[in-house]
Amino acid sequence: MFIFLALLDSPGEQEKFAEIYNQYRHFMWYVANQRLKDEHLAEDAVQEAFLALTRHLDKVEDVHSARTRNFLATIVRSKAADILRKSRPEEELTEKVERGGWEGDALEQYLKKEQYNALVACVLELDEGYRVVFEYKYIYRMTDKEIGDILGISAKNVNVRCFRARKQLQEMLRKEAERYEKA
Amino acid sequence: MKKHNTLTDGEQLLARVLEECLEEDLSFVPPEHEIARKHRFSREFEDAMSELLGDEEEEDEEEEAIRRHFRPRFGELAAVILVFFVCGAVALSLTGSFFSASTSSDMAVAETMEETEEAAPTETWDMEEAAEETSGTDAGEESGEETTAGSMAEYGGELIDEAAEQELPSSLDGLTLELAYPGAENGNTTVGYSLENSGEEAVSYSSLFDLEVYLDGLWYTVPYVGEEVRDWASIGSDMVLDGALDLSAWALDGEAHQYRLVLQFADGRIGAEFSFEEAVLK
Repeated sequence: MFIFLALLDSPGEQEKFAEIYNQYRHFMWYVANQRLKDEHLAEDAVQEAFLALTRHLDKVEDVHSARTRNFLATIVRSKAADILRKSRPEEELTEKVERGGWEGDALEQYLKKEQYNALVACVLELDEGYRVVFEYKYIYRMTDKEIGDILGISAKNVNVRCFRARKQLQEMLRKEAERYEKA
Repeated sequence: MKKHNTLTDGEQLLARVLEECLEEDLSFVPPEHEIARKHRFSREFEDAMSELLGDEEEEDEEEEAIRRHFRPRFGELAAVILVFFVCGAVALSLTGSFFSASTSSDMAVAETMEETEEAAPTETWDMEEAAEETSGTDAGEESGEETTAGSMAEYGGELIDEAAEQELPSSLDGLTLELAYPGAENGNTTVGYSLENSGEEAVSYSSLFDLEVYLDGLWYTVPYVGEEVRDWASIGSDMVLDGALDLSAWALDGEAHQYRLVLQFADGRIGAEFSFEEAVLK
């Protein structure tokens, strides 16, 4: 805990952090509770999210912006996903991905040719753990190291998780394409 | 290896979709203050977060809230002293042995009251408030009502307390409270409100409103019977928060006509009036 306190030494950071806390803590709890369906576990997720945020306050420019709100939602959802995964080890992300080859930029090809609505449908169905990694990487443009710092895993594992996320999305898009062709 | 800040066309499309899906998910989340009204964090959470935040700011806020909460009590204290003098004078006038001295006693009491009222403006801000509250009480007595500061009135079969402040602005220090009335459904006990902060800084305010009712020329506090616990919320600069209050959380008496919602914030209190018919039956 004191490590985090040390990171908030600057009065400006402390003020910004307090402002975020006051403005968004209930919102973050609500988002976490939607996933976890447990008020106390949701509080744990919020606390973990704020702890992670202390190391990435530089990502927050305007406290009151929609982007900040979305960023906080992503953090707390990733923490909620972590809690869920730990409580249900049988639902490890790795087991949801079918084994098999994944060819380089196959996903890229699907992303180019698939209809926008199909992609939206697939993203909404994507595992939460994978989706938040995508959000960190593609919306907030964070490096694997930064993402790993928030998730509490190594940069290498972030890369692996991202690989699996792409693979799952690719598989979902492929099935969507097949369904579309049959129709 | 591709740099993290260079996205392919496909990844840019994915980013756009991810953002849209996130917005869609969050569009169902109620406003912060509405969630705050229904949820209270556990003590363990509050303790852990106050440790992370550093206690100073939170303690300062609490001290400020406590200080403001107890400040009006000076007014009540002054009123009690005055009542004490008046009662003493009445007691003296009723005793036969001091009958002849009663006139001079009344004059002495009157002089004391005048001195108090005259001295008040030269005292501190707190004493000014006390004098204002005292004079407000006197006005009630002059109009023939038997009310004093801290008096009670019967409402809904129960005695309720006089409001701490009789005069409240609807706007103060850039914070404005307005009411937006509910739909046309009869029996709807929900009243909508709009809170605007036109100031340059965020403002902390109590998430639990007070409801006051106007009876016989004075405002009284309607008892709260809901389950919500008072907490502090925050509204940012240049922000407007719209919300709704279910008046059934207060022990309403349907016969009363004039009410006001009172919001306490760091620098004072503001209120917005409405009539029972407008808010509930319109």
